[in-house]
Amino acid sequence: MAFKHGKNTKVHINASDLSSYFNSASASTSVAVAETTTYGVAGSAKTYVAGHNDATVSLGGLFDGDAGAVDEVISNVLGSSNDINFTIIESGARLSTILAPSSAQVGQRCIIGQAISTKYSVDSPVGGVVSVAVDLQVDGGTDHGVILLYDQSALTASQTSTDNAAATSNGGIAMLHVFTNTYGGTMTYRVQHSVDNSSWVDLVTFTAVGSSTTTSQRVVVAAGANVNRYLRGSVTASGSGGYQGTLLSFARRF
Amino acid sequence: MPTYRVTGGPDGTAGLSYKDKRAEPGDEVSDIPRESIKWLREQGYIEPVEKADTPAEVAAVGDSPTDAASSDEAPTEETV
Repeated sequence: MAFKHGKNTKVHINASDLSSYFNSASASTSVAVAETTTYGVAGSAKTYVAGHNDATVSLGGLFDGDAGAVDEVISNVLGSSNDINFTIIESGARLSTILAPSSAQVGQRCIIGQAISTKYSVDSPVGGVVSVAVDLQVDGGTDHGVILLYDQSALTASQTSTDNAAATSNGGIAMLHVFTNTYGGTMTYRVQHSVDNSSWVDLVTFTAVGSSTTTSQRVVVAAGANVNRYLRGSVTASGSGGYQGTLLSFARRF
Repeated sequence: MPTYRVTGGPDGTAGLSYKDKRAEPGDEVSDIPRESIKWLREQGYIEPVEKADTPAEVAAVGDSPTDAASSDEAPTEETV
């Protein structure tokens, strides 16, 4: 086991990489319990059963009012009827730069989910930097998964696979963020799975991402669906020039 | 090498990737890694493609029993 420093945490919301504006990120999940203690129960301890889980995300950072920066992105989604998609990479190896994709990030843990933005505050102290704080109410719970692609360039390539050691049988969640796009064509992203790490079949195919489009997409693999032992991200491209900055992850459900 | 047809899997849309190649549902392939064929068939992502001469063989084999049955049935009916 290796402990991780938080300095390389990444925060993606919808089609934006907001990592450079935040300096704190907290994702919390709790489970409600109901008491089942009855008269005459053996021993002297109360008993409980588990109920629903609930999750929230809190982000803190520095204000930036430029186009596409944190203030514009967050204020536009505050209270929106459409859930926002988010991915938080808590820690890990130093991230590569665009056009220098590395397999180092593949397999890193991340938290993915969809949420409603419930609070956005801007604090302007007379003696300090203007700061922001964001609260998200997660809709449907968070899922803890692994990164399959990150900062993939315009290559038609499949990244390093991740090995879960065993298949799972309860579906999962796939999350795609395309946060930079100068590519002169269309790219199609897929999550593929395999039994033997040799041949691969599509598990999820995202809607193709066209030229100059930034987007985020969340796809649910239905409960009960088989997910084989190995996973990888895959890209097929039609076009040339430029690149798409991409974060693709998948969380198995158990 | 046997030839297999890509079925698309449970929802009929899943493509197949191997050896830096990609095959879409409906494609026929004959160079899938040997070790992958078993699980791809078990999970329903590929199915064997029958040889073109197989239907003719079936027809030829089927003709004789039918004829034989007809000839056998005729005397039975006469008996009744």
